[in-house]
Amino acid sequence: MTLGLRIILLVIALFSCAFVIRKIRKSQMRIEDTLFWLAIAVGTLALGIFPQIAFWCAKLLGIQSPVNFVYLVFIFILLFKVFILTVQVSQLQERIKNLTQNIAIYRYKNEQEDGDEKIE
Amino acid sequence: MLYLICLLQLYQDNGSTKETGEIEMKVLIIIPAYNEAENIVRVVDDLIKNYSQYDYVVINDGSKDDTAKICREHHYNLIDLPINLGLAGAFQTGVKYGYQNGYDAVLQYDGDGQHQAVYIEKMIAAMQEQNADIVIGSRFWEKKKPGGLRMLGARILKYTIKFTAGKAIADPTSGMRLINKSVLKDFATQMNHGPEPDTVAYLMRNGAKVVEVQVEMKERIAGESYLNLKNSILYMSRMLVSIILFQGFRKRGK
Repeated sequence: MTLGLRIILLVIALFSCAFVIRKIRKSQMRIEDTLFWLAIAVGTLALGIFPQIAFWCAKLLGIQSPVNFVYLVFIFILLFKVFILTVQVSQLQERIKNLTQNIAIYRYKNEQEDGDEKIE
Repeated sequence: MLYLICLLQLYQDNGSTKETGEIEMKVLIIIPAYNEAENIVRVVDDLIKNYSQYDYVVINDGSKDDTAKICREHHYNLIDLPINLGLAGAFQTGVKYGYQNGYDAVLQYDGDGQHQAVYIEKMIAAMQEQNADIVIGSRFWEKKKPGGLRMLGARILKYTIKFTAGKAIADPTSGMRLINKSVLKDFATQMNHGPEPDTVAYLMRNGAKVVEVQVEMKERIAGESYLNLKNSILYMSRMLVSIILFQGFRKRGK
Protein backbone atom coordinates (compact mmCIF):
# COMPACT_ATOMS: atom_id res chain seq x y z
CA MET A 1 0.00 0.00 0.00
CA THR A 2 1.56 3.22 -1.17
CA LEU A 3 1.31 6.50 0.63
CA GLY A 4 -0.88 7.76 -2.21
CA LEU A 5 -3.48 5.07 -1.62
CA ARG A 6 -3.45 5.77 2.11
CA ILE A 7 -4.11 9.42 1.44
CA ILE A 8 -6.97 8.51 -0.94
CA LEU A 9 -8.50 6.33 1.78
CA LEU A 10 -8.29 9.18 4.28
CA VAL A 11 -9.85 11.58 1.79
CA ILE A 12 -12.71 9.11 1.14
CA ALA A 13 -13.31 8.84 4.89
CA LEU A 14 -13.30 12.59 5.27
CA PHE A 15 -15.63 13.18 2.32
CA SER A 16 -18.19 10.56 3.32
CA CYS A 17 -18.34 12.11 6.78
CA ALA A 18 -18.70 15.59 5.32
CA PHE A 19 -21.47 14.54 2.88
CA VAL A 20 -23.42 12.76 5.60
CA ILE A 21 -23.19 15.73 7.99
CA ARG A 22 -24.29 18.08 5.22
CA LYS A 23 -27.34 15.95 4.42
CA ILE A 24 -28.31 15.77 8.09
CA ARG A 25 -27.91 19.55 8.50
CA LYS A 26 -30.20 20.14 5.55
CA SER A 27 -32.69 17.48 6.78
CA GLN A 28 -32.34 15.45 3.60
CA MET A 29 -31.41 12.11 5.12
CA ARG A 30 -32.61 10.04 8.04
CA ILE A 31 -30.15 9.35 10.87
CA GLU A 32 -30.66 5.58 10.51
CA ASP A 33 -29.55 5.74 6.86
CA THR A 34 -26.30 7.51 7.73
CA LEU A 35 -25.02 4.51 9.70
CA PHE A 36 -23.83 2.68 6.58
CA TRP A 37 -21.81 5.70 5.40
CA LEU A 38 -20.37 6.37 8.83
CA ALA A 39 -19.25 2.74 8.95
CA ILE A 40 -17.59 3.17 5.54
CA ALA A 41 -15.86 6.29 6.85
CA VAL A 42 -14.62 4.52 9.96
CA GLY A 43 -13.43 1.53 7.89
CA THR A 44 -11.50 3.57 5.36
CA LEU A 45 -10.09 5.76 8.11
CA ALA A 46 -8.82 2.70 9.95
CA LEU A 47 -7.29 1.28 6.75
CA GLY A 48 -5.67 4.61 5.95
CA ILE A 49 -4.13 4.99 9.36
CA PHE A 50 -3.27 1.34 9.98
CA PRO A 51 -2.49 -0.28 6.61
CA GLN A 52 -1.21 -3.26 8.60
CA ILE A 53 -4.84 -4.40 8.77
CA ALA A 54 -4.87 -4.87 4.98
CA PHE A 55 -1.51 -6.68 5.06
CA TRP A 56 -2.70 -9.01 7.76
CA CYS A 57 -6.05 -9.80 6.08
CA ALA A 58 -4.44 -10.27 2.65
CA LYS A 59 -1.98 -12.75 4.12
CA LEU A 60 -4.76 -14.57 5.91
CA LEU A 61 -6.82 -14.93 2.72
CA GLY A 62 -3.83 -15.70 0.51
CA ILE A 63 -4.21 -12.54 -1.56
CA GLN A 64 -0.86 -11.46 -2.98
CA SER A 65 -1.15 -7.72 -2.66
CA PRO A 66 -2.85 -5.91 0.24
CA VAL A 67 -4.23 -3.32 -2.16
CA ASN A 68 -6.20 -6.07 -3.93
CA PHE A 69 -7.73 -6.94 -0.61
CA VAL A 70 -8.89 -3.33 -0.21
CA TYR A 71 -10.45 -3.35 -3.71
CA LEU A 72 -12.14 -6.68 -3.09
CA VAL A 73 -13.67 -5.56 0.16
CA PHE A 74 -14.98 -2.34 -1.34
CA ILE A 75 -16.48 -4.09 -4.38
CA PHE A 76 -18.15 -6.63 -2.17
CA ILE A 77 -19.61 -3.99 0.15
CA LEU A 78 -20.88 -1.92 -2.78
CA LEU A 79 -22.50 -4.92 -4.50
CA PHE A 80 -24.20 -5.82 -1.26
CA LYS A 81 -25.43 -2.26 -0.78
CA VAL A 82 -26.82 -2.08 -4.33
CA PHE A 83 -28.65 -5.34 -3.79
CA ILE A 84 -30.19 -4.05 -0.56
CA LEU A 85 -31.17 -0.85 -2.36
CA THR A 86 -32.88 -2.81 -5.14
CA VAL A 87 -34.89 -4.71 -2.55
CA GLN A 88 -35.85 -1.48 -0.82
CA VAL A 89 -36.89 0.15 -4.09
CA SER A 90 -39.05 -2.91 -4.87
CA GLN A 91 -40.75 -2.62 -1.52
CA LEU A 92 -41.21 1.12 -1.86
CA GLN A 93 -42.82 0.65 -5.27
CA GLU A 94 -45.15 -1.94 -3.79
CA ARG A 95 -46.11 0.42 -0.96
CA ILE A 96 -46.70 3.35 -3.29
CA LYS A 97 -48.79 1.10 -5.51
CA ASN A 98 -50.91 -0.05 -2.56
CA LEU A 99 -51.36 3.51 -1.33
CA THR A 100 -52.37 4.72 -4.78
CA GLN A 101 -54.88 1.91 -5.16
CA ASN A 102 -56.40 2.50 -1.75
CA ILE A 103 -56.70 6.24 -2.33
CA ALA A 104 -58.43 5.67 -5.65
CA ILE A 105 -60.84 3.07 -4.22
CA TYR A 106 -61.58 5.27 -1.22
CA ARG A 107 -62.36 8.24 -3.45
CA TYR A 108 -64.57 6.09 -5.66
CA LYS A 109 -66.57 4.86 -2.66
CA ASN A 110 -66.99 8.45 -1.43
CA GLU A 111 -68.22 9.55 -4.83
CA GLN A 112 -70.69 6.69 -4.87
CA GLU A 113 -72.00 7.61 -1.43
CA ASP A 114 -72.34 11.26 -2.43
CA GLY A 115 -74.24 10.18 -5.53
CA ASP A 116 -76.56 7.98 -3.47
CA GLU A 117 -77.31 10.83 -1.09
CA LYS A 118 -78.22 13.13 -3.94
CA ILE A 119 -80.66 10.57 -5.36
CA GLU A 120 -82.30 10.16 -1.97
CA MET B 1 -56.27 -22.82 -0.77
CA LEU B 2 -57.85 -26.30 -0.76
CA TYR B 3 -59.96 -25.22 2.14
CA LEU B 4 -61.22 -22.29 0.13
CA ILE B 5 -62.05 -24.51 -2.82
CA CYS B 6 -63.95 -26.90 -0.56
CA LEU B 7 -65.84 -24.02 0.97
CA LEU B 8 -66.73 -22.75 -2.44
CA GLN B 9 -67.83 -26.20 -3.50
CA LEU B 10 -70.10 -26.47 -0.45
CA TYR B 11 -71.44 -23.04 -1.15
CA GLN B 12 -72.19 -23.94 -4.74
CA ASP B 13 -73.71 -27.30 -3.81
CA ASN B 14 -76.09 -25.54 -1.45
CA GLY B 15 -76.95 -23.09 -4.16
CA SER B 16 -77.61 -25.71 -6.76
CA THR B 17 -80.34 -27.31 -4.69
CA LYS B 18 -82.45 -24.25 -5.32
CA GLU B 19 -84.92 -24.30 -8.15
CA THR B 20 -82.73 -22.36 -10.58
CA GLY B 21 -80.19 -25.16 -10.51
CA GLU B 22 -77.31 -22.68 -10.50
CA ILE B 23 -76.81 -19.70 -8.27
CA GLU B 24 -76.28 -16.37 -9.92
CA MET B 25 -72.65 -15.28 -9.76
CA LYS B 26 -71.93 -11.70 -8.87
CA VAL B 27 -69.35 -10.73 -11.48
CA LEU B 28 -67.33 -7.53 -11.71
CA ILE B 29 -65.87 -6.55 -15.06
CA ILE B 30 -62.59 -4.72 -14.60
CA ILE B 31 -61.54 -2.46 -17.45
CA PRO B 32 -58.04 -1.03 -17.02
CA ALA B 33 -57.70 1.99 -19.29
CA TYR B 34 -54.56 3.89 -20.18
CA ASN B 35 -55.03 6.53 -22.88
CA GLU B 36 -58.17 4.88 -24.22
CA ALA B 37 -60.15 8.06 -24.93
CA GLU B 38 -60.93 6.84 -28.44
CA ASN B 39 -62.15 3.41 -27.34
CA ILE B 40 -63.61 3.64 -23.87
CA VAL B 41 -67.08 4.94 -24.77
CA ARG B 42 -67.65 2.19 -27.33
CA VAL B 43 -66.49 -0.49 -24.91
CA VAL B 44 -68.40 0.67 -21.83
CA ASP B 45 -71.60 1.68 -23.64
CA ASP B 46 -71.78 -1.83 -25.10
CA LEU B 47 -71.52 -3.29 -21.58
CA ILE B 48 -74.12 -0.93 -20.12
CA LYS B 49 -76.62 -1.39 -22.95
CA ASN B 50 -76.33 -5.09 -23.65
CA TYR B 51 -74.83 -6.66 -20.56
CA SER B 52 -76.28 -4.76 -17.63
CA GLN B 53 -76.47 -7.97 -15.57
CA TYR B 54 -72.75 -7.58 -14.83
CA ASP B 55 -71.22 -4.79 -12.77
CA TYR B 56 -68.27 -3.05 -14.33
CA VAL B 57 -65.63 -0.58 -13.26
CA VAL B 58 -63.18 1.40 -15.36
CA ILE B 59 -59.74 1.89 -13.83
CA ASN B 60 -58.13 4.97 -15.31
CA ASP B 61 -54.39 4.38 -14.97
CA GLY B 62 -53.26 8.00 -14.88
CA SER B 63 -54.03 8.51 -18.58
CA LYS B 64 -52.52 11.56 -20.25
CA ASP B 65 -55.50 11.96 -22.59
CA ASP B 66 -59.15 12.63 -21.73
CA THR B 67 -60.05 9.09 -20.62
CA ALA B 68 -61.01 10.19 -17.09
CA LYS B 69 -62.90 13.27 -18.27
CA ILE B 70 -64.91 11.26 -20.79
CA CYS B 71 -65.77 8.66 -18.14
CA ARG B 72 -66.99 11.36 -15.75
CA GLU B 73 -69.07 13.04 -18.44
CA HIS B 74 -70.78 9.74 -19.19
CA HIS B 75 -71.15 8.94 -15.46
CA TYR B 76 -69.34 5.63 -15.81
CA ASN B 77 -68.17 3.73 -12.74
CA LEU B 78 -64.66 5.09 -12.59
CA ILE B 79 -61.80 4.44 -10.20
CA ASP B 80 -59.31 7.14 -11.07
CA LEU B 81 -55.72 6.34 -10.10
CA PRO B 82 -53.82 9.52 -9.20
CA ILE B 83 -50.59 8.20 -10.76
CA ASN B 84 -49.79 5.66 -13.45
CA LEU B 85 -49.24 2.16 -12.05
CA GLY B 86 -49.05 0.05 -15.20
CA LEU B 87 -51.51 -2.63 -16.30
CA ALA B 88 -50.84 -4.97 -13.38
CA GLY B 89 -51.33 -2.24 -10.76
CA ALA B 90 -54.42 -0.88 -12.46
CA PHE B 91 -56.03 -4.30 -12.78
CA GLN B 92 -55.18 -5.11 -9.17
CA THR B 93 -57.03 -1.98 -8.08
CA GLY B 94 -60.19 -3.44 -9.57
CA VAL B 95 -59.47 -6.82 -7.99
CA LYS B 96 -59.08 -5.17 -4.60
CA TYR B 97 -62.38 -3.37 -5.04
CA GLY B 98 -64.06 -6.61 -6.10
CA TYR B 99 -62.55 -8.52 -3.20
CA GLN B 100 -63.62 -5.90 -0.66
CA ASN B 101 -67.15 -5.77 -2.02
CA GLY B 102 -67.99 -9.45 -2.03
CA TYR B 103 -67.89 -10.30 -5.71
CA ASP B 104 -67.90 -13.99 -6.68
CA ALA B 105 -65.62 -13.42 -9.64
CA VAL B 106 -63.87 -10.65 -11.53
CA LEU B 107 -63.24 -10.44 -15.25
CA GLN B 108 -60.14 -8.89 -16.77
CA TYR B 109 -61.42 -6.99 -19.78
CA ASP B 110 -59.55 -4.79 -22.26
CA GLY B 111 -60.43 -1.12 -22.59
CA ASP B 112 -59.54 -1.06 -26.28
CA GLY B 113 -62.43 -3.11 -27.63
CA GLN B 114 -60.52 -6.31 -28.41
CA HIS B 115 -62.65 -8.39 -26.09
CA GLN B 116 -66.27 -9.21 -26.79
CA ALA B 117 -68.72 -9.31 -23.92
CA VAL B 118 -70.89 -11.93 -25.64
CA TYR B 119 -68.46 -14.61 -24.38
CA ILE B 120 -68.67 -13.63 -20.72
CA GLU B 121 -71.74 -15.78 -20.14
CA LYS B 122 -69.96 -18.80 -21.60
CA MET B 123 -66.97 -18.18 -19.35
CA ILE B 124 -69.11 -17.87 -16.22
CA ALA B 125 -70.96 -21.06 -17.14
CA ALA B 126 -67.63 -22.87 -17.54
CA MET B 127 -66.49 -21.59 -14.16
CA GLN B 128 -69.62 -22.86 -12.44
CA GLU B 129 -69.90 -26.17 -14.26
CA GLN B 130 -66.27 -27.15 -13.94
CA ASN B 131 -65.68 -25.46 -10.60
CA ALA B 132 -62.73 -23.59 -12.04
CA ASP B 133 -60.57 -21.04 -10.28
CA ILE B 134 -59.55 -19.27 -13.47
CA VAL B 135 -61.30 -19.30 -16.84
CA ILE B 136 -59.31 -18.00 -19.80
CA GLY B 137 -61.07 -16.59 -22.85
CA SER B 138 -58.90 -18.48 -25.30
CA ARG B 139 -58.43 -17.68 -28.97
CA PHE B 140 -56.89 -21.09 -29.66
CA TRP B 141 -58.86 -23.58 -27.60
CA GLU B 142 -60.74 -25.12 -30.49
CA LYS B 143 -59.04 -23.26 -33.29
CA LYS B 144 -55.45 -23.69 -34.37
CA LYS B 145 -52.86 -21.11 -33.54
CA PRO B 146 -51.53 -19.20 -36.55
CA GLY B 147 -47.78 -19.26 -37.13
CA GLY B 148 -45.54 -16.25 -37.33
CA LEU B 149 -43.31 -14.30 -35.06
CA ARG B 150 -46.16 -12.78 -33.12
CA MET B 151 -47.30 -16.17 -31.94
CA LEU B 152 -43.80 -17.50 -31.28
CA GLY B 153 -43.74 -15.95 -27.83
CA ALA B 154 -47.12 -17.39 -26.95
CA ARG B 155 -45.98 -20.80 -28.16
CA ILE B 156 -42.82 -20.68 -26.04
CA LEU B 157 -44.87 -19.72 -22.99
CA LYS B 158 -47.38 -22.48 -23.66
CA TYR B 159 -44.74 -25.22 -23.61
CA THR B 160 -42.83 -23.68 -20.72
CA ILE B 161 -45.99 -23.67 -18.64
CA LYS B 162 -46.71 -27.25 -19.66
CA PHE B 163 -43.22 -28.21 -18.52
CA THR B 164 -43.35 -26.50 -15.10
CA ALA B 165 -47.02 -26.59 -14.18
CA GLY B 166 -47.94 -29.88 -15.82
CA LYS B 167 -50.70 -28.63 -18.10
CA ALA B 168 -50.54 -26.56 -21.26
CA ILE B 169 -52.53 -23.38 -21.73
CA ALA B 170 -53.50 -22.97 -25.38
CA ASP B 171 -53.65 -19.16 -25.17
CA PRO B 172 -51.54 -18.04 -22.22
CA THR B 173 -51.29 -14.41 -23.33
CA SER B 174 -55.02 -13.87 -23.68
CA GLY B 175 -55.96 -10.86 -21.58
CA MET B 176 -59.51 -12.04 -21.00
CA ARG B 177 -59.54 -13.95 -17.74
CA LEU B 178 -62.31 -14.69 -15.28
CA ILE B 179 -60.99 -15.05 -11.75
CA ASN B 180 -62.93 -16.86 -9.07
CA LYS B 181 -63.39 -15.77 -5.47
CA SER B 182 -61.19 -18.72 -4.44
CA VAL B 183 -58.04 -17.01 -5.77
CA LEU B 184 -59.22 -13.41 -5.61
CA LYS B 185 -57.44 -12.67 -2.36
CA ASP B 186 -54.11 -13.71 -3.85
CA PHE B 187 -54.60 -11.42 -6.82
CA ALA B 188 -55.74 -8.59 -4.56
CA THR B 189 -53.02 -8.66 -1.93
CA GLN B 190 -49.96 -10.65 -3.00
CA MET B 191 -46.81 -9.30 -4.57
CA ASN B 192 -45.96 -10.67 -8.04
CA HIS B 193 -49.54 -11.65 -8.83
CA GLY B 194 -50.01 -9.59 -11.98
CA PRO B 195 -52.65 -10.58 -14.53
CA GLU B 196 -50.13 -12.44 -16.65
CA PRO B 197 -49.38 -16.04 -17.73
CA ASP B 198 -46.77 -16.53 -15.01
CA THR B 199 -49.34 -15.99 -12.27
CA VAL B 200 -51.76 -18.40 -13.93
CA ALA B 201 -48.99 -20.99 -14.21
CA TYR B 202 -47.94 -20.45 -10.61
CA LEU B 203 -51.47 -20.85 -9.27
CA MET B 204 -52.05 -23.86 -11.51
CA ARG B 205 -48.96 -25.55 -10.11
CA ASN B 206 -50.38 -24.90 -6.64
CA GLY B 207 -53.62 -26.67 -7.36
CA ALA B 208 -55.79 -24.03 -8.99
CA LYS B 209 -58.06 -25.29 -11.74
CA VAL B 210 -57.62 -23.41 -14.99
CA VAL B 211 -60.16 -23.86 -17.78
CA GLU B 212 -60.21 -22.41 -21.28
CA VAL B 213 -63.20 -21.33 -23.33
CA GLN B 214 -63.06 -20.54 -27.05
CA VAL B 215 -63.62 -16.84 -27.79
CA GLU B 216 -63.10 -14.51 -30.71
CA MET B 217 -61.17 -11.29 -30.38
CA LYS B 218 -61.20 -8.20 -32.55
CA GLU B 219 -58.23 -6.25 -33.77
CA ARG B 220 -57.85 -3.00 -31.91
CA ILE B 221 -59.65 -0.21 -33.75
CA ALA B 222 -58.00 2.90 -32.34
CA GLY B 223 -55.05 3.77 -30.15
CA GLU B 224 -51.72 1.99 -30.19
CA SER B 225 -50.51 -1.24 -28.71
CA TYR B 226 -47.46 -1.03 -26.48
CA LEU B 227 -46.13 -4.31 -27.83
CA ASN B 228 -42.99 -3.09 -29.56
CA LEU B 229 -39.78 -5.10 -29.82
CA LYS B 230 -38.21 -3.79 -26.62
CA ASN B 231 -41.33 -4.39 -24.55
CA SER B 232 -41.80 -7.84 -26.06
CA ILE B 233 -38.28 -8.88 -25.12
CA LEU B 234 -38.69 -7.49 -21.59
CA TYR B 235 -42.05 -9.20 -21.25
CA MET B 236 -40.77 -12.57 -22.43
CA SER B 237 -37.69 -12.37 -20.21
CA ARG B 238 -39.79 -11.56 -17.19
CA MET B 239 -42.27 -14.35 -17.93
CA LEU B 240 -39.65 -17.01 -18.58
CA VAL B 241 -37.60 -16.13 -15.50
CA SER B 242 -40.73 -16.15 -13.39
CA ILE B 243 -42.05 -19.43 -14.76
CA ILE B 244 -38.82 -21.39 -15.06
CA LEU B 245 -36.67 -20.06 -12.25
CA PHE B 246 -38.86 -18.67 -9.48
CA GLN B 247 -42.09 -20.65 -9.69
CA GLY B 248 -40.88 -23.53 -7.55
CA PHE B 249 -39.30 -21.29 -4.92
CA ARG B 250 -42.26 -19.04 -4.25
CA LYS B 251 -43.97 -19.35 -0.89
CA ARG B 252 -47.65 -19.96 -1.00
CA GLY B 253 -49.88 -17.52 0.83
CA LYS B 254 -47.03 -15.23 1.73
